[in-house]
Amino acid sequence: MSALELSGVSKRFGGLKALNDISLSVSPGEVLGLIGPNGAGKSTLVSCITGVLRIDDGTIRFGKRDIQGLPPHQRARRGIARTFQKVRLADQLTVYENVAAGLASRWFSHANGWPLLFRPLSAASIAAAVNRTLEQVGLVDVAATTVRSLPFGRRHFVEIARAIVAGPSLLLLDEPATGLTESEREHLAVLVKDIAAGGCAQILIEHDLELVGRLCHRVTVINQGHHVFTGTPAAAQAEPEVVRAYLGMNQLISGGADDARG
Amino acid sequence: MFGQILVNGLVLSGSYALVAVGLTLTFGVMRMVNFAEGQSVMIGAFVAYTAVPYLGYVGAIAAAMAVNAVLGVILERTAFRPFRGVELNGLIASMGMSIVLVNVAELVWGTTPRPFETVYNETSINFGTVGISVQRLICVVASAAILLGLWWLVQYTSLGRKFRAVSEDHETAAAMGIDVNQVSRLALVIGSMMAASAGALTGPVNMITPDMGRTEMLNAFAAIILGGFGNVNGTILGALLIGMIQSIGAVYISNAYSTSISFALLVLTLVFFPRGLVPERVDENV
Amino acid sequence: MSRKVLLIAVFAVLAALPLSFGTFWINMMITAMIFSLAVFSINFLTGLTGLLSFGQAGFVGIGAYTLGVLAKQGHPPLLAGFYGVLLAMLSGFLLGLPAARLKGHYLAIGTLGFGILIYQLLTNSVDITRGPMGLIGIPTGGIDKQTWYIVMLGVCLIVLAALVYIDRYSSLGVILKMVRHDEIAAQANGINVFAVKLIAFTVSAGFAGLSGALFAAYVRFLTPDLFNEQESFRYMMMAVVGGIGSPLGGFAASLLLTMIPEGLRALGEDNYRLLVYGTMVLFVLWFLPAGIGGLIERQRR
Repeated sequence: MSALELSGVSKRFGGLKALNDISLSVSPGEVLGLIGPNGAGKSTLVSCITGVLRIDDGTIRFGKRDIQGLPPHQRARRGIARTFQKVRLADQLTVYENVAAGLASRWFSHANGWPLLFRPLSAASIAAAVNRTLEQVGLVDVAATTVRSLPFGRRHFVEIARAIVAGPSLLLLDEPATGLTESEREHLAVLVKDIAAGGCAQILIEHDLELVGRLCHRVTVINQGHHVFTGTPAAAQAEPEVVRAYLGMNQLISGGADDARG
Repeated sequence: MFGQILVNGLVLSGSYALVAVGLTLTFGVMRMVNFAEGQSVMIGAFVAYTAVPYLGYVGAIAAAMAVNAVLGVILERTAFRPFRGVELNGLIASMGMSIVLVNVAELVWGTTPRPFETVYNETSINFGTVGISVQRLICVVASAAILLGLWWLVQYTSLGRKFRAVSEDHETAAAMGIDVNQVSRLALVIGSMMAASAGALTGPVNMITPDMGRTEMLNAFAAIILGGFGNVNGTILGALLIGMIQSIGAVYISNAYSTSISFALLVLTLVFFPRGLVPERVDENV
Repeated sequence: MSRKVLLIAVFAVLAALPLSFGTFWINMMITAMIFSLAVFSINFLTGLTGLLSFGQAGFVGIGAYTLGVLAKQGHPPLLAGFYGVLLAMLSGFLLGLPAARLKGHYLAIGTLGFGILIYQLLTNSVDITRGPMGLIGIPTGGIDKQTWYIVMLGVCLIVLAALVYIDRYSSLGVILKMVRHDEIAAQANGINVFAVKLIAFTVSAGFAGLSGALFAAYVRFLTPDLFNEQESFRYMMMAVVGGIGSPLGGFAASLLLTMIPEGLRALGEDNYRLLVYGTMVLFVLWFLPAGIGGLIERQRR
């Protein structure tokens, strides 16, 4: 059974159709790559999944449930977590505090979670979850540091920690490798595999195609709001439509130079 | 009756528009609400009141605008420029300035309300069944002229272009070579001068007291919510609406409730239109 | 640890003060402490949750007049005060419903408008509140100033401690700060931002209402002018001078900004009250942008 299933999803912004009949699915423990040129609609799709944007057509099923009517915080409480393209952390708070905030979905999702609101952040149950996650992600050494003093690369990891601390069943990663050093990229790869091993489904938006090839069981390629291809990374590379989409993008980038020469 | 309501409404609208447009202009350029604007009206009224015996009415208005221009420069330096980026503090600083101004006015002119006498108060002109004192007529005409002048300034002059550029985006404007500090100062100067004219023109209609700035400002806020922050045209229309509604309300409901009407309208507007009637550009990107 | 000891020491000194100072100063301390509860309401709403309110005096007024009117009708003052806080909270809830959807300057002006409407209501409901004629002789006499002083000190201490705990140590504090910093990220972590804002408005109004009820019980005489927008501005100014996120700073600012103008009045220099007040506010904003609280924070490090 899939963790997430999109069927025929469309989204309009005024006259512009940003998403056109998109279908995809992810299973527990699977890593699905979501790739495509800039402006293809990847972030829009993520926002539709998390509930920030309302879809105009199609269905979104999470587990067994149609989640279309649910507002973003409800979807989060049911186990959908995400990171953001531009990291959204509370700069003045410590890594520990930021990660602890991620437990909110657990505190609010059942009755015996509420009293935890008034417990100190150092309470046993909170500390256990946070410290466990900090270890998994590799942030124990900076637990007490404010996010403001952290280098940008590590902030991505803080966001991931915040996203997974409550044990989501679906994790949406929006370009997590941006600005990472070589060793940080490796660390990210290991982390993603680790999260998948725990049974969490993941959707990975990335421009770093080498990483995508390594980590993703399947990829979905979209271009200008349309679904182009879904299959293994290897198959995607061979698929003409995909090559065209990316070649088109490359043309756009280097096209000016070619014209100058020609 | 209808004519009388119309005239009263126009007098109110005119003065509200003068104050509100000054506020909206300042807000557009500085992104901060000027809580001292109401007191600028009050100072303008008192300066004009003091100057009339020496300079005549027209001269008094000019004197009020001159004093307020200086006031605008002072305000920009003390209450706005130091707080760019920390808008809440700027807001509170203008609050602090406003109470300083009230006290200064009390010290100079005392706390008792004074009647602002001009020759025009005595004479009336009759349009059919509607009688209007010349003073009120001057209010309406002068407000309209000043607002027209400001509208022309914003739409067609290079200064107006700079105002609009800075309102859009500080950084882009600075990158285009615009001196944002100078533009901010000018916005505040012009806003204060307009407030001065509002005070000098409507002062003779009612008594003037150092406390009068409060209600001036509140009505201006209502106009801005209706018309849109930073939107000069909308604010003028908002002021027109508020003035008319208050004029009608004063006759059919009660005079005491007239400010309540503005505020009820303001609150109701925000209930149904959280982004104001005239939404600003949304620049939130997920 | 040493900071907590210092804090307790300060409060112990404050508790011992009535023994050495005259009635005038005790009176002022009590009034300042009553006002500080309204400032705390702003520390909670604006400092912690990031919501503006320029209409807090309205809720103070509701708390005050509820106690005043009910007590004069014969209800026990404690119960009347309780109802005052409840009614203030209900009003806060009603304000929160539309206000939670407002941002920035719209929120500022919207809450200002709401506060003014409450003031107009208090002024014009002459049958109930006696309007500008004033509500005189609220039957809560018979408690001497020393008792009032200790009670207020206790109340302030409790509220202060609760706010500091929430801010520094509790999970609730982190939630509120997330709502303040980044609503989208907050939602993505399961926080119902609308509900949190609604609760914040309600609780904050409750604190303000408590301030009002205590004011009515202590001063025993009310006019609507005590709860107009100028008063809302005063609370806001106190909060910012104290440091918007620092209840301790707010407490100090309330003491400072109550004592100095009143002291001037006692010395006969009544004409300069607003001037001094405004100038003090400006000076703090220019030189201590983080307020008194910021100064305290710096000493901590």
